[in-house]
Amino acid sequence: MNERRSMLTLRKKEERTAWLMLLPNTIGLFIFVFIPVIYAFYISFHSWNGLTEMKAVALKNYVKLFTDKDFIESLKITLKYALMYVPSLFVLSLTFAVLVNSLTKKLQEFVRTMIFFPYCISAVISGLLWSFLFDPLNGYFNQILKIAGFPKQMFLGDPNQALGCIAVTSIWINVGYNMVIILAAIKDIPKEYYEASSIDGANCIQQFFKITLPHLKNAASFVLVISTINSFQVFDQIKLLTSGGPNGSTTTSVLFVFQQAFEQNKIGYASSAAFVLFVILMILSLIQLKLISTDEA
Amino acid sequence: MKKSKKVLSVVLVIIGLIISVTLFFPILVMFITSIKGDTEIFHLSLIPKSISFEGYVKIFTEYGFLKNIGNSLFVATVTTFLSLFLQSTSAYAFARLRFRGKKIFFLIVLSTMMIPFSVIMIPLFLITKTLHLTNTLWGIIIPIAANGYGVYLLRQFFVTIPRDLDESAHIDGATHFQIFRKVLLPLCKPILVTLGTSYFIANWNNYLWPLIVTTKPELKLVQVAIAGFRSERQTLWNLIFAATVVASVPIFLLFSYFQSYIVEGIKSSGVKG
Repeated sequence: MNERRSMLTLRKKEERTAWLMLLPNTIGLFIFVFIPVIYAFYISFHSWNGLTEMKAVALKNYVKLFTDKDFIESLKITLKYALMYVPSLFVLSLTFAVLVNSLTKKLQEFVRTMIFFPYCISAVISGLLWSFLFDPLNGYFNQILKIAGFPKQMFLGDPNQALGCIAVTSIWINVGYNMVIILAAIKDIPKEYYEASSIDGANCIQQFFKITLPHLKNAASFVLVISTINSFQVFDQIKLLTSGGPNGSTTTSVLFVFQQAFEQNKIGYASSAAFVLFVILMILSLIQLKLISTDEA
Repeated sequence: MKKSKKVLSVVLVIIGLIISVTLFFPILVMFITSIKGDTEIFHLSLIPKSISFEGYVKIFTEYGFLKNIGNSLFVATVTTFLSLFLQSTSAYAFARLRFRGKKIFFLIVLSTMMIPFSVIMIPLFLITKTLHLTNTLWGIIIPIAANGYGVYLLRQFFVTIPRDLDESAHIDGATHFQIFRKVLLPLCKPILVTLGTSYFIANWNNYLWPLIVTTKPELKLVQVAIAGFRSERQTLWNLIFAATVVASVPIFLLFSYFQSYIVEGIKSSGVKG
């Protein structure tokens, strides 16, 4: 009886310690993640400029969103950006990973460092750096084009090229990160598979498609979905490179939310746009979870 | 057969070097442009005709860049240590202690990882304002210090450490706080360094949140200040690149010391997550 009681108090003590240790981070998450989500949802049903009193407008913001040409356009631009960015990033990361893996150990480290370093530099710095290279008047790319005998391009100044230029910048930033993930997965593949298939007379290309690629399923789906989600959230580079222009041709959805909220003070409207974006991202995350869990089975 | 293999490996080395040089080229351009004189900034040469450190002098004397660096160092360091403290204590509870509702609570903490910053940035700003933290450096730090990602990563690591160690400490009369501090934390150095390095880099590089929270010039962080250099008057590229080179120095140092840790962190957040 006595022993049981002391066991009970011990468990109670343990439980108290647990909550005490959980408390600091939980308070933070509660005030700065959960409340904001609920608050954002609440604001999205109001008309509000951030200063005067909120006015409840029910679903008006959401209805307006789907008739707002600028918002629909921003979704289209985001999608277009994702379609440019994700497949090319994936192919490049995979190619670089396979290539780096085939080098000698010392060289591997050198090449990996060079490819990975841009990932550590801030998006602000990368944005500035590439806007210098893309400069329509005297930028390095235009000078190189001129030497090669091609006409000058407007790059960031041209509504048809600006988004592509941003995608190139983002690929430059992130290719190292994704390469590291794929490279790690390649290194996890047992060497015996390659040895056995070599004996059977398989060449490098056959080995790549029959051994390497199937073993990269997990890493590949991770890279694909993470980069899709990231492409829907891109902000820093765009703000620095074009600020949404020219002619709104690079105003992605996050930029739309930012402009509505902090430049036009339409906080209620911006919140509803943010929520639509949230739903889209949630769907993408769920697809991610599904992909990863089916892969494990 | 052997000869063709040798040729192939030489070709691969050459391609590898070409890719490295191409990807590193913009960073080289940044460094070289920062020491070029005004007249030759756009010259397509990698060897400047005359070396000028004017940009470097100007950012410190005329633009108060030292203040920006101080602010960023403070914010990045404090956020990193605060985050590590908050998340390692939570992770210990999830890994080692029994309490009711543990599973569901862990899922709730994990779910915060799915919430994109763009969705909560508006109310986050409003809450920070209500707490009278806007236009303070603490207003940048406190709202982003707590997160679910670190809890998840640290818990996964704590679980792999054999329980025998804390059990023997327990028998010696150590409390859970003591076990956490004296037994587990020292064993977790690699993962703490990994997480800490990536937090420091992320906070040093952060732009959007500091941009929203602070408007006073004396509170500007490095990235916000650099972005501001461009919109002021005309674009002074050698000055901007002097600032970006200086801003990249801490990242470069961390990167060269802790590269293997950073890479480990990416691997564990990726494939095994």
